[in-house]
Amino acid sequence: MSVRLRPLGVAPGALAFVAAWIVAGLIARLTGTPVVLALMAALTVAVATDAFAGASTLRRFRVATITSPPTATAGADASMRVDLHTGTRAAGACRRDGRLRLTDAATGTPIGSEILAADARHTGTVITVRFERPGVVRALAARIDLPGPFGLVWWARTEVLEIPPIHVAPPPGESTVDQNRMTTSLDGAAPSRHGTHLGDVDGVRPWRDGDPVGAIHWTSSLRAGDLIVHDREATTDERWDVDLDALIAQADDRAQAAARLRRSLDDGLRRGHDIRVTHRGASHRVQSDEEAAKWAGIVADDPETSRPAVPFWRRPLRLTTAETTTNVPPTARWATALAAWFSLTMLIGALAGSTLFIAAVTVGLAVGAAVSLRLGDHRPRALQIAIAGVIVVALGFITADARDVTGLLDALRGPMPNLLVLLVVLHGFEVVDRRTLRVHQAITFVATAYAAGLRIDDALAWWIAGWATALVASLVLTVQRPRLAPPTTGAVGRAGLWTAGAVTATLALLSIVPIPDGPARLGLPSLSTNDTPIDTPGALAAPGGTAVPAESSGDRGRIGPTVGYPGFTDTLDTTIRGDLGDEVVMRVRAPAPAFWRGQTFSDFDGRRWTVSPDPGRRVDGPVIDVDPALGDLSAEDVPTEEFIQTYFVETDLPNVVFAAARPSRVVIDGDLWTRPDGALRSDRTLTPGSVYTVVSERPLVTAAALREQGDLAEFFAPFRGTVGAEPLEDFLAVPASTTPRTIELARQLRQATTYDTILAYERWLGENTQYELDAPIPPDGADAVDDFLFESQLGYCEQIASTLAVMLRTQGVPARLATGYIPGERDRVSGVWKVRASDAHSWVEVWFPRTGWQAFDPTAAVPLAGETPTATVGGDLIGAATSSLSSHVRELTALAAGAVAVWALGAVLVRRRTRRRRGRWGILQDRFAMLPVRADGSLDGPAPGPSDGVPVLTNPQRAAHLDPPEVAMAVAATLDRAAFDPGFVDDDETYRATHAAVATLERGRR
Amino acid sequence: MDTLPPPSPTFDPTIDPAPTPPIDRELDAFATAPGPVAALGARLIGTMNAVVAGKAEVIDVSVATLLAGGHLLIEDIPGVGKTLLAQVMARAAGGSFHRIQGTSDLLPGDITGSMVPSGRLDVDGMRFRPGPVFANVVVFDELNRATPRTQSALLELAEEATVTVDGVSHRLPEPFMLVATQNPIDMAGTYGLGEGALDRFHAVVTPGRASADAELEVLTGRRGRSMLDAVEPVVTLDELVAARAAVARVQVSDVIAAYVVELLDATRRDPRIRVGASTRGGVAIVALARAFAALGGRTYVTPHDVVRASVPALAHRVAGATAPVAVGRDLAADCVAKVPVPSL
Repeated sequence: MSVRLRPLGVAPGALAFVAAWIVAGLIARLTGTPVVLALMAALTVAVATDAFAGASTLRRFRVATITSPPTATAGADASMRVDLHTGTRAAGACRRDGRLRLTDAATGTPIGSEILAADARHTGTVITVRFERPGVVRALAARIDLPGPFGLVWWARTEVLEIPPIHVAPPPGESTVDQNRMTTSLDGAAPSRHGTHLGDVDGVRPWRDGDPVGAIHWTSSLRAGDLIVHDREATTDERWDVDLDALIAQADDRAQAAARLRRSLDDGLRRGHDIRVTHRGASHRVQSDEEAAKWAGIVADDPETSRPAVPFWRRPLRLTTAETTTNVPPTARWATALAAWFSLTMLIGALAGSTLFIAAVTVGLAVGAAVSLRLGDHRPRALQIAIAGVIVVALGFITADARDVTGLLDALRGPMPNLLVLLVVLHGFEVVDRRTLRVHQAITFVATAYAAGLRIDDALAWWIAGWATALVASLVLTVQRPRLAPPTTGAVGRAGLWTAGAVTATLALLSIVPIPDGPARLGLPSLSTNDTPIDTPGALAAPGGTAVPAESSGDRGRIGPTVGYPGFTDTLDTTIRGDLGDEVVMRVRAPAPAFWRGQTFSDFDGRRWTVSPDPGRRVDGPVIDVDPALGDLSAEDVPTEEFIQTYFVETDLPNVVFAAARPSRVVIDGDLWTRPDGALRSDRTLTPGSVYTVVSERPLVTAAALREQGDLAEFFAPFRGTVGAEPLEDFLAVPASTTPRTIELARQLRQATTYDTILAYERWLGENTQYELDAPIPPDGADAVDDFLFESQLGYCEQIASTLAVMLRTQGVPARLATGYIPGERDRVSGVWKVRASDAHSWVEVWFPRTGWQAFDPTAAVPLAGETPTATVGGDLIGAATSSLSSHVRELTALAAGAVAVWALGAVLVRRRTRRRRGRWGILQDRFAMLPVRADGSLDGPAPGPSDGVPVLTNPQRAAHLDPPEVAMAVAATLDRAAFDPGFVDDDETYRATHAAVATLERGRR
Repeated sequence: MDTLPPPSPTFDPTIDPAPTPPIDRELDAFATAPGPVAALGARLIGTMNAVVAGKAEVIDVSVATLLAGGHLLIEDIPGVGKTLLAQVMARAAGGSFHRIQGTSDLLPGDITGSMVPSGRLDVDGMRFRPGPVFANVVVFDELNRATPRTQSALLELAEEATVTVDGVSHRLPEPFMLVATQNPIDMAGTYGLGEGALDRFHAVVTPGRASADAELEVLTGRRGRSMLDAVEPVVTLDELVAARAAVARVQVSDVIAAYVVELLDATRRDPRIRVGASTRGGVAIVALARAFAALGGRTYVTPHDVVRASVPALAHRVAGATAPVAVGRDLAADCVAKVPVPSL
């Protein structure tokens, strides 16, 4: 018995998922969204799981016995019974659509096939078979085709089984062609009918004149109604000549003549005769089945069959396999509609579509599902024309509307998703079979990936979870037959194990996938919803477009709601604190954390930083190459990376364009002022919905790289005072109000290298000052740095950064102040940094000649660019999961406790129901039947079903194998009495005795 | 509940109470409790086992068939104790015993009896001289050597328990049992029983060769035919009739009946079996199962009884007319193994 397990192909429509996967890859490339990568990995693992689970099910699934009739007639129906052994572990397999095919193992001719029934395990499947050609069949190849749990990948398991020989008799009245027979015995003597040695029996054939009576096969004769005789191998050499030319010339019906020829040739081949056909005057030898088929094809004048068989490597590649049925179960259709609803709602949400749009789509999807279910595979032409018309009209509108599409984001956000939504809804009407259903499911995958690429909000994970659940349900329901018995607890447990394994595999796969480093270069997103230019070109503008009030009232916390933070004005008074709210200001999609820098300040008067008045150069958008400002360039041998950030503005912001240091290219709707101090300003204020992208050239700075640059004061000393070094002096200017004790402190803390000096300053500040948002205002005329360092010793980022800058400047190190936002909180599913108003910050930047301006900040923990740990998509997802788990320990514990309680309650209820249904004697009978019995040394455990090849035992039969036998016999007798004696009186004493006896037997087996 | 009628109307007192002898006080016990049937069966089986060596299961089936009021077919090669089995059963049962040897020239009249002149033909007319079939146990050896005509006459009267000659019906003695034997291998000059004829036998047994120990006992004369003369009747005919009535009253629940129907269905679905078992086959199973239940001292049939009864009751029905019974036994056992056994 040989067994072969091989993949059969994928289900119709499953290739659409491959296309969807590729499209998702494009989306991931375009948008740089980690969650799209997660979707792709999940799909990969799901398909792999489908393949592995299908193969694993089939490995446990075998044909136990084939009960075949001893005789059959060619061309007539006969029946065979196939008992499947599924074992207890593969019981769920039958719930899937599967197919059983029987072929004659010797010739490979199919003889019958049947859809696997779920109850095959219990009663066996009776298959109607038909043998096409007479002969003896000694072995059958039974092939079981089964898909994986998602119905995408099909496997075939072929098993060759020896069976008692089936004698296939020729059909009555079958005619053959004329043959010219020449018989020679082995020794070359003249042919003789009598006295020749009889060969071995080799099948049956119709009786021919001269056959001995002893050769008649009576059983077959009774079946066929004609005399059938044993056919014997000839020990003589017999040669048959068939004149094809004459046959063709005389044939009225060439197909019939071909059939007769085929039978004759088969007959001769089976007996090992030397067969020749004469075709167009030439004689050809016929030696194989294929050749016989070829000649029959020539006679039938059928080019298909007369062509020689095509070798498998030249056959067209067929990946898909036929399913047992194309019928779409309603549950699967509705689950698919739900998945489509999730994905489309997600997509519309990403476009900020109206509720009306969502309602229309909902209705469209529901109507589509209902209509397609009602229509079945009958598609009225009118509907197709209507759908095509709607698509054409929509395309026309969209094309007309999209004439001025310039940026990729415009297209991605505007016409394309609308078209996709429309197509999904309309395709819903066309879902008539499983192929189109799978295509529809694959389209929802694309829509979900699309939405995931565009959406930046917090609820993305939940939407995707809802969509994935609906999709998995629809996949499983498509190939599952719901009316069959519910799955056993074992099957549910196994499904759970598979799911856990698949999730682990997905995470494992994702844990080697780095977070995508941003959108592809071919189209960086930018979008502006504001067309109003600001009053003074190049100046700062508050969200209203008006100039920012230059002076504040001098009161802390009074900058007003227009800007929110003094760092985004022309002057940063260290005595003023912004009125920071907690609302989300913007979301930044970036692969790693960084300071989102808005402005830099170099001019400090002891209390107030002032921005350089030079507005810089105006550059036309949307794609702007930013020239490096002074101090931005790093040495050529310092490795840099391209760091792409996309800023999604959520609230009204001034026209400050944020960027991680050092911006090299900005994609933004509108023009940009690139300032010599490195800051960027837009020609319009940023309104909610605005999007711009910054590509930064980021030197991969490490602590070692900074330290090895030594003491910067020594480096810059030669340049000081030289011609053209004025800009450098700006970064070294110490305010006049700086006190000697400040300089003295800076000198005392100075280290051998500037990097260590900065660390020493930060350490000192950490030890001697306190971070305090409500720090007191220094007295009038006092130096703010001095006041912070030695008087109040309370302060926040402005104080700290100003102090660091001044202290460094006193030691000859060029430094300036930068304002902007700290990275904010990362949403690990969408990979977006959520920046709140309270994340506004200022920090100090130090000019390292080899690596450029380097930000330092003792309060915000932003790692150095070269030391940022590499994050992976999987690691992020695991982190998100663990953090949400650890933050909800109490709820999860309650949930687990609740689940355990529900489970326990369910178990109690089931037990009570069993007790009520089975009665106390029924439970005893069940326990007795569960006692392991070793019959024929093969059976251990409860007696399996009859088709498992082991007879079902009666109670006394079971008792005979138990120990001690007399106790077991008594129990068996009592149980039979309880079951079948109408006069049985259920008294407690008998029950107790039997109960005790069963307990004894159970103990005895352990 | 009784869901199937008793096997033969002969033994149903409500239809024909006349032949049933008045039940005396001792026989009352049969009407109330199963114990006496079990005791009676044990006596019969013990006696038969003492003579026929190593055929316990065959003897069980034979006695069950006797109690079920059915007829038995013994099919096996010569010399395995077919006839001895029938003879010792007849003796132990205490009834009359006749033996008919099947030949191709045997006529129906030869077995039923015929009208013969009585004294002076013109005065006394013809009188009926009963044939060998008028006995409590009739052993018909080599049934397949008799012509189909004789076979069908025999089976007809066995079914009806009545012989009709010249328009006059003569009842066969009560109880009546036909035990037929046939030889499966020597087929020349035989008339194989048709499927209809086979169907009339409740059960078929194939004793098979005895074990070496049993053969030793036969050869040394401790068992076997030499002991036949020593067999004394262990039951009376009245007891036997009462026991048959008691067996017919054994309860068969609906579940058991459904199980029997399932078994019949299994034989009909098996591709190797040309024609599945008939309803009469089911009746035979139930009757035999009742007898097994009574022999086990029970008043109700359990699935185990049905399993025991199924193979002897189905073997000749599923084998068909052409295959040996031994093949049928395997087929029947296969079918039984494929049907789940009912339980509580």
